[in-house]
Amino acid sequence: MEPEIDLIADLNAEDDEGLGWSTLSDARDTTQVRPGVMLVAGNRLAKAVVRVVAVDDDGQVHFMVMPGALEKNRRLIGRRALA
Amino acid sequence: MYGERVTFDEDGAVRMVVRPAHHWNIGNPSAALHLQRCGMWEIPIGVRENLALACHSSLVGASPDNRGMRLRRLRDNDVLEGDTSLVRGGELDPDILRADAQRYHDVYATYGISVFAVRGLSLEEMAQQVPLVRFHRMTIITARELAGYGLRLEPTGRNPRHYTVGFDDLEQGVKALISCAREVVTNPYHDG
Repeated sequence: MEPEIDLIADLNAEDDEGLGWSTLSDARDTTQVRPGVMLVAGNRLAKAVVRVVAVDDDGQVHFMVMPGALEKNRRLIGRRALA
Repeated sequence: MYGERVTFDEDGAVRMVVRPAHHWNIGNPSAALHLQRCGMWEIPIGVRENLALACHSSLVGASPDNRGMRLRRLRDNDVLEGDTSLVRGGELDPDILRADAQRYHDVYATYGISVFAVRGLSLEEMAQQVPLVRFHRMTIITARELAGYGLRLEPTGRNPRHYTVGFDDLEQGVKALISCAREVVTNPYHDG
């Protein structure tokens, strides 16, 4: 079974630094969206495990898409990357 | 280059036409320049010299005065040839396009959809990389086709292949996008 989407996002979208992005208002649980956390982002066209890089004051969430298939990265979901 | 909407008062103040739906307090000429480039209209007050400096800057950033609005970095002099192919992961689903464009608007105060110019790398190479590798299908449209429907192609961000298809009206923009002639291909490198 595919994991739930934590953060609805267009995986095509890039911010000025080339990171993926979405907004806190598109998060299933905003308290889970913190820098370093791994979660599932995307929509019904594409999903990926991503690492949250930053959450801005205006709610823009910046993330890095992890390489590899969603299934292979499933074990990473919910973990926090080491600083 | 973007000056047709700018007028200069005798005292050197820069004026632009305001779009009624927006009343941002822009006091930064570089922000004004960005708005012009995006086809958005504003009334920043500055001086001619400052705008000229802004025109030579490759960075278009938000100032502390621009609360509630984020500006995009636009790559200078990055114009695509009409026959350049642009690829976007996924098929052009109106509901998803609408949601993505609205999200862009929530942050950047204009509607936009991300695409990637097929240049410097082949489509085959791009399809193996993030983000396209995450998509089972890819949509390919030419720059000429997008322009023919009145859509803007804005060279946004540091990635030289990333462009934003910009528009001012959500429904018209989505309708224009899905009206474009396009090719939809399966990504053989999609890894699920």
